Amino acid sequence: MKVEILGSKGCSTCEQLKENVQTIVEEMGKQKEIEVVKVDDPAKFASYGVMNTPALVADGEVKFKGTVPSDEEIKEVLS
Amino acid sequence: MFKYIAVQLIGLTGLTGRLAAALEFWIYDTLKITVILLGVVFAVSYLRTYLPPEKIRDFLKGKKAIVGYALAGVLGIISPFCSCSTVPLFLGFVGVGVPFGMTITFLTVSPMVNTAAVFVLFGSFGWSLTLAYVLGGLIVGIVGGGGLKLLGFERYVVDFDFAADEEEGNDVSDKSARQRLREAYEDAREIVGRIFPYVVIGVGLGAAIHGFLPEQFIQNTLQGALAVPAATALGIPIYTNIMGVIPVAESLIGKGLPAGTSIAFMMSVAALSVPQFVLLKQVMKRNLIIAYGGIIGFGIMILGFIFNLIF
Repeated sequence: MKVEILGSKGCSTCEQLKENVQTIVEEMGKQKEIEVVKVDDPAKFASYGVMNTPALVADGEVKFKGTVPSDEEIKEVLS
Repeated sequence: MFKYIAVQLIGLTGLTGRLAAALEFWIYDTLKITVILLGVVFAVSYLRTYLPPEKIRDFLKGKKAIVGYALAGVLGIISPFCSCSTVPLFLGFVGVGVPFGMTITFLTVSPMVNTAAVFVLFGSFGWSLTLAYVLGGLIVGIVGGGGLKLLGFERYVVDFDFAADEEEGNDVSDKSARQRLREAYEDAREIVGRIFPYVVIGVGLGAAIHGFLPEQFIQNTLQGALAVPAATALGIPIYTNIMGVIPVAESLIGKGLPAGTSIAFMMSVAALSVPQFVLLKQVMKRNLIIAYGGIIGFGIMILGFIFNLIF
């Protein structure tokens, strides 16, 4: 699975979301299966239809936008 | 009440004179602004969970002419957002057919006038200047957006694709109160955390001016016809939040700086800044950015002159 975290540079909640996701991936022991990348190109946000960051995209599908989801919500998406 | 706390604290230190005046200003304003900021930002963040950008966009999509522009301005006031989302918002609005001019209006008004700033302005300057500031900000945003549209600058937006978003998931109606509170808390924490350093610096500067800048200085240097353009130009390289510049303007007004000049300075600091232009460069070609800066700057100066005549 490819997880993309969309967030502009200098957006602190976006960094936080990325860290949360990475921690959870490690806890689940899925570092091999799940690749987490940060995307900061706004044209890319637009191509996903995202206006408010942070957003979480899993395999090209927007799961959350404009909010830092709770750990439970993240786990649900990742499993 | 904040005044009382500040005066008591200064009394304890036994300081008098200029240093005491500066310290009192610093304590009083930091307390006042922080309390207002916390309360208002949390309340607005909560309400905003009912009003995500998608909804704002849908409000504006079909609107025509002056109603649409006025609505864009008002929505700009009530919806705070991080300057880091300016560009995605711009793309999102324009991408699904919100008129270009209204998008500009929304993006201009939003950093200049926001709900928390309105409360702090009211507390610092009273209702007449607050009203002037809010109406002035709306007018600059509307004229700027409408002007750029009329002059045909829309073609200088860079090409991009925006995915039509039909997926559900983020439906606003099905959130529980708890979820909204959590989101509001996250939002408020992020916004206040980001703004707070600017408030401390701004109030510190304001306090220094309040305690140490001689009134003579302003009367000798910051008056006359060139004061308004100079204040506007000075605001461009300065990057701070509107909450950080209010205390500076407050003590400058206290030292006799004319209201119009002060308002022009505040607006310019909030709406025109070099980092903002760099961000916009990602989606706007150079001609549009220059025209945007030019028309907003010009509008701010005109307002400054008018307010200097009125107040």
